[in-house]
Amino acid sequence: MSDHPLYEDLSTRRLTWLRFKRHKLALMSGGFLIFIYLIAIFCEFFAPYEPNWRNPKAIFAPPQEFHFFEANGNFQFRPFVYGYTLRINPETWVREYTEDTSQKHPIYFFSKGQKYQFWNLFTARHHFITTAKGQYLHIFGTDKLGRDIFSRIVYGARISLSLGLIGVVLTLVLGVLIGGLAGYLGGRTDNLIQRLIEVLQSIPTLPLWMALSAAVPVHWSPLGVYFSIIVILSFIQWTGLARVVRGRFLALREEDFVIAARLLGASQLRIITRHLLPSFMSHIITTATLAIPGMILAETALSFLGVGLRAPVVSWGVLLQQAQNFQVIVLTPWLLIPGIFVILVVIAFNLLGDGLRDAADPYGGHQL
Amino acid sequence: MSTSTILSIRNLSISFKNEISEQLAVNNINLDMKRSQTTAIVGESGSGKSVTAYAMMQLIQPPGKITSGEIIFSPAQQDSFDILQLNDNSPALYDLRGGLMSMIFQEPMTALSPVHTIGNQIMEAILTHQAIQKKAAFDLAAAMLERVGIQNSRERMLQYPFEFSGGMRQRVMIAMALVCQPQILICDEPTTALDVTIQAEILALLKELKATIDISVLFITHDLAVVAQIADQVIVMNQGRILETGSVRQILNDPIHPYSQGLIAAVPGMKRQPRLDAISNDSTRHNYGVHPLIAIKGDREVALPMPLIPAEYQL
Amino acid sequence: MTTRNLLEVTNLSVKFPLLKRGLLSKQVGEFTAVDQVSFEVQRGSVLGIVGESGSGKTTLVRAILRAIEPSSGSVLFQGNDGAVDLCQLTHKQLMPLRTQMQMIFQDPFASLNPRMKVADIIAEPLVIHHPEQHLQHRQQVIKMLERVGLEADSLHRFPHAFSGGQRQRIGIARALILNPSLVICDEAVSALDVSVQAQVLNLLADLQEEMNLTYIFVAHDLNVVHHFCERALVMYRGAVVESGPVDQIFTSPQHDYTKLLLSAIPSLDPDIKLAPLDRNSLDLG
Repeated sequence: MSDHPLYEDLSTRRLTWLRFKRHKLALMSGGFLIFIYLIAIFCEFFAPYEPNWRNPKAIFAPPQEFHFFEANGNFQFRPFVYGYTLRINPETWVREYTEDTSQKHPIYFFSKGQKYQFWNLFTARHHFITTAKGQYLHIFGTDKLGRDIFSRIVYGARISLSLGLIGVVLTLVLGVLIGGLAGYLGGRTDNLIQRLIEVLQSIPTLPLWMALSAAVPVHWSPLGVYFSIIVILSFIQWTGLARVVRGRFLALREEDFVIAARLLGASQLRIITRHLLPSFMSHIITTATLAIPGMILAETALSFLGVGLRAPVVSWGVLLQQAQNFQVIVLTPWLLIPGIFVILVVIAFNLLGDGLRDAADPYGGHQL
Repeated sequence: MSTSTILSIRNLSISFKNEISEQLAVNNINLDMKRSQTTAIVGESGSGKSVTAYAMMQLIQPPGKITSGEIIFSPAQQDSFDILQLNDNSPALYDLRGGLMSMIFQEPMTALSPVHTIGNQIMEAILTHQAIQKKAAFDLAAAMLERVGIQNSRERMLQYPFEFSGGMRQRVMIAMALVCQPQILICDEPTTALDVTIQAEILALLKELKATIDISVLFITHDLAVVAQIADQVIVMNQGRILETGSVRQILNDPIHPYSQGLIAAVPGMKRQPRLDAISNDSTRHNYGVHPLIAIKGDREVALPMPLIPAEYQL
Repeated sequence: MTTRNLLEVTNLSVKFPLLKRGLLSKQVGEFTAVDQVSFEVQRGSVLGIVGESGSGKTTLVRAILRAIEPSSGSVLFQGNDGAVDLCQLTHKQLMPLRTQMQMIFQDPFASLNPRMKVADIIAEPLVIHHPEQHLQHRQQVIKMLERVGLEADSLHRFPHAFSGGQRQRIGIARALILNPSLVICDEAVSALDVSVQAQVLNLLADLQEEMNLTYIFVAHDLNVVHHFCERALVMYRGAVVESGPVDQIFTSPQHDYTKLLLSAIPSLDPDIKLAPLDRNSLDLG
């Protein structure tokens, strides 16, 4: 241990933060995730269009390129895109879009655009990025109804990311409670809970989810469906966390400082809240962080299969449902872009979780 | 370097990093091991004694780092070489570890692989260094086990570590370490985790082996009584520095450095006394100042400034 | 129970069930960790309990404090309100008695909650038993810190900032802040360096005088027991094989196991060779 004056006064939390800072990848992932979640929170502001707004002039249109130079070579500070000219190939019947240099659509930042409702609280018109009225901007192209993919991805972020977060919170509550009970009480309670966990875990997840999902009443509002999906996903997920929590409780129960607390006369509640919980909080947070990508992927998978969220709700899974056939890869590959975001977010969460886990491990270094 | 010295450490410094700072665990030490003798390094926790031993086989891993120094090894009938200059993964390093030099550790429970049989592990040690048939290796291993006091060794070779008691496992480790006839055996607190009756048996075994095999031993411990029983030469370390060296009788019966004196006075003796003479400062970080080791009468050294060394010891 | 004794243990046994693993665990036998142990502890004295690993000494003292449940026997404790059999009380009834008997643990790293500040660790007994006096807690904690030789600014630090010896002092402060009459030291100095061990033993001796404490001192190091205790029990495989004044045990041991144990202690004198007895030639019973 160091003589360094600062080291002695540092709490475990501060030490963990210092250790975490050393993982550059984890830090970057954390930053990236904060960035994406901010976009999700303010999605109405960041997306140029509403997710269900259609542009009849751009069905299955490819992404537009950003330009700073006009056709005649003039540099323009404000970026712009060209409109589409549509031609249907007489032989293959495939849509071919080319840039129409006569249609210049300048891009405006922080300007007024389409009206929207911010979280259903108030109306506003300002967008982060938009075009003038009558002009259009499709950064990631459009789908079969002419809906802007970029906007749909941004709105979809809100659903997919929040679902992952809330789902994990529910999983956490169930897992910690039940797992904690099993680990702390031991004996028959532990036995019972463990058998229950084993039964639940042996059921194939995807069929179970599909079955539960199909049981959700059709007439429920999108919000109702949203929450029932969360419950369905957490229905199995908590078992994994409960096992981990149980293991930690069992180990911690025999630690000297816990026995010391018992011998001091501490009540069971005090032991749990004051001594056991703080000791494995970091561990639980790490496990939870690593569980979020699982939830996001699960929702994506369910919606992709058509048994999760459905239109008009927009999530990344719902978006990917449009990309289910081979034609997509050949003709309109930009419909797969939501998948890239899923991958990025999942990787980011995994890197963040890894960094947290390494930082929270008190004796990660060599002790000689 | 004289032929009576088998290993010589010069100016060795090893540092360790934590979240805030980098600290020297071993601070510029110089140390000689005499051929065919048992040299004990005695120190409390944080003295750097184990780190020094690990450095001898280039076992220091990050966050530890060897910042300076050399370890000159002079095996019999071979040229001397600096162990620290050997490259990672070089054949010379592999020959060294387990071949010319081997080590036994403190925790017999964790030093043996739980999923391999004892025989398997000893044979692995043999086959890594000798190109012989498996059958021959088996015979060698069984013979070694008998030598360290494990009876019915041919049957016990097929058993797993969990089927052995702590003392037995330590014997197995000794067998594993000696089976390739190393010239130096490093023992890192081998009896600290054992009951006192088992410790006595292991110490007796080590003494008996030393009498029959020509081997130089480096014995790391914090227990002065064990040192009295097993060592020929003693080196006293504290906070990464060597404070005193000498023969075992010199250090235990006639210590010069105040730290050595305090250490001996602090051991509860075989009589009831109202208070122990404790070293006054509460931590092992008591600052004795930085002094180089000075050679004094009787082939010993002490790290004190000249004025503090009693006249009768000065050269 | 004579009032001279603080504790009278009679035929205390602790047995653990051996379970066969299956869908429902079934008991197939039992393991006796502590076998019909009886002894007395006089007020103000120091009793040593010596044994090697597996002797049952730690299980014994934990059973006395009911950290482990005894299987049979009685533990008569002379509390402030009269003698009680600790084995007959429910955990709720034990609560008020906990202020009168405490334990100091072996591992300085594991016995303190790494996430609590030193001030909170030492104040915890006060918070549990005298929550209404919270204004005085800080003062009492500071006084206790000084008594065990730590500085007042240790209050806001965390255990990992301290050395092993200092952590043991924190553990001692926590155990003694409620002024117990019985203190069990479960290998309290075994994990400490020799020089630090000496300091902590001196501290424990001083505190015994100041606070009128009675110690049960569990250890595997016979020299420490010889130095620190007046009487001692020697345990082997769950049973007490020898007991009496320490000097007598050391100079004229009766039981073969005690003789074996004594013969295995290395001497600090290089000229006195270690000559351990051969266990196979002894009757260890």
